[in-house]
Amino acid sequence: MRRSQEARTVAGMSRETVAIRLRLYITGDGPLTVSARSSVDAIRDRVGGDCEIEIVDVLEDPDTAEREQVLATPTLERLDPPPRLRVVGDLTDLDRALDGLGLRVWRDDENHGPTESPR
Amino acid sequence: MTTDVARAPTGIEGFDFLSRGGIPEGRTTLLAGAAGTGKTVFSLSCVRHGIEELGESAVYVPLEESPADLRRTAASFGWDLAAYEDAGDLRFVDAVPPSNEQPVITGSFDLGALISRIEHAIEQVGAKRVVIDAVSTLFSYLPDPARIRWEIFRLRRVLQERGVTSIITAERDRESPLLTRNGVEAYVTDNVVVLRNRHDGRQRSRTVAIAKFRAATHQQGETPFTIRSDEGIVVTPLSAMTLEQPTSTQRISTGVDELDELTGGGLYQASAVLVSGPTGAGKTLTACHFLAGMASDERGLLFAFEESRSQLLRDADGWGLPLRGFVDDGQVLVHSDYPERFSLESHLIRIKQHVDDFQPTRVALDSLTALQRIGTVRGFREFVLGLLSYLKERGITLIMTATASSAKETESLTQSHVSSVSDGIILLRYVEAPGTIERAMSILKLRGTEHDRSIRSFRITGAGLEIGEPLDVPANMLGDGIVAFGGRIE
Repeated sequence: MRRSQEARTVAGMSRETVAIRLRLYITGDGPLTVSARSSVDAIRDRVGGDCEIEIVDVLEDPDTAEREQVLATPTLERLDPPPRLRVVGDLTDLDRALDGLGLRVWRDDENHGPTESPR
Repeated sequence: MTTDVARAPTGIEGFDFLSRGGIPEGRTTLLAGAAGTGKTVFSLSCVRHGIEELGESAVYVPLEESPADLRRTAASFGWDLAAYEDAGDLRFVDAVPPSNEQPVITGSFDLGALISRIEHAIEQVGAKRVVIDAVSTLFSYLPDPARIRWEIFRLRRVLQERGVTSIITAERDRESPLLTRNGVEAYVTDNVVVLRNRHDGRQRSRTVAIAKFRAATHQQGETPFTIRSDEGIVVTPLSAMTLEQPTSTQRISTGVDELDELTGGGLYQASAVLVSGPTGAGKTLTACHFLAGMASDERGLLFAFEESRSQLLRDADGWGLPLRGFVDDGQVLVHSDYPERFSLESHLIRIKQHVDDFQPTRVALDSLTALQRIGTVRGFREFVLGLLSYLKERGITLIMTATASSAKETESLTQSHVSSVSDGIILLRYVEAPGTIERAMSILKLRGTEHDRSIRSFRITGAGLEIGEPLDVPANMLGDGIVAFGGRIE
């Protein structure tokens, strides 16, 4: 299933120089939101470095959800660096979530940049 | 007894009749059908009708075709969705999954984002109608069927609380006994409409059936419909037609002087006359005479199901009838089609369309027998009834032909209600005279008229139909086949 590390990394990027921006879409403050929030905190810890996580509550900002065509919540989206990748759910399996976002590689080897594709 | 729920008219011709006024107002109707059955056109029609006729705004939630695709689809029917959007009457909630790739799923999720977006759009345009088309996409995008079903149920509750009339479409597998592929009906269960599209042999037959309307009366069974390029879905509830047409006292010529005399002055305007006889007896000729006998301000339509247009015109030339001239002048239009090319329902809809387009005063149909063989007895009866009432309402006079070599065969048409709903029957027969076979004609029935009851011989000449004197021999007009001169009626 997993491709080689070379294929999964953005050439010339190291964790220290790459700013990661993620956006978490939630709806209200129900149990899924609570558990997703704590999951992204854990993700931030795992990824380390420059990692910014924006939270969009669809109830308060439906226009962003409309523009980005979000269907399910919670959805965690990698905005930067491109490409955009999405993971749906309250992220109970952190490894799987990091895989889906193409960020897993840093857990294995801190010298590699973010991946281009989730697979 | 429960009171019938209020209805939201769909504006779909025929469907509102079947459903006694439309889909249940303020509720969700599940529209189930396989790909290509017309779910989207049905939904768009309903949205358009609400906006155009009732001032009801709408939210459309496409999950398969993008809003741009839908605007194009609608434009092919002449509906300008962009204009509705600009006017604030329509809003799309684009729920087409952003890419072909499924997202990684870990943990639990709901469709809170989609539901919030729909609620937001409803508020923005003050929507009264909402379409979700089609929920099946959700099941493939987020493969957690139990979760998706529950979310659809939640969405339905939200829509109901907001009092909007909604349509949720769902994919159906063609040969599956299940109503929808993902069992959506278990969650959206009150009102279910099923669209079907069958190909039996060369024919496509589309039907719509109201599988279930809770606390609401409706017509049962499958009803044919057609998708027309100019007005979308047209449902044909044939049994809906009534026979309450205005009767006319105006007479019009049959195109044959002697026949006008026999009929006591011609045919009543808006009447329907059956010409019945064996092959070669002169039925098509009689129909051609009828069209060639038009006054200069009249227009005629000929539907030919047995001969090609060119062959028919050649025949008319041979009979010395000026039919070709009428066609060249645009006063007569000839439509020739193989009966098997369409279903009876489609034929009826096409005939109506031609009548609407051409606005004829006279219509000739040659022959009913050719059409009879492509449908069921009931379908044929409804075709005839539908055709007759449509033409009568418009004051159009009809001559239709049928092949029958005996009264017994005419009787079989009676079974199909043709002769009983006809205003007149002209019988053509062969009779055997000494040394020759002659043609004979008799007017069996002519509603509201003192008509000649004699049996006349007639000839087909280079000048058309020539009616002679009353036969003074027993001709056995009602019996079988050819009758020997002086022979007994057995």
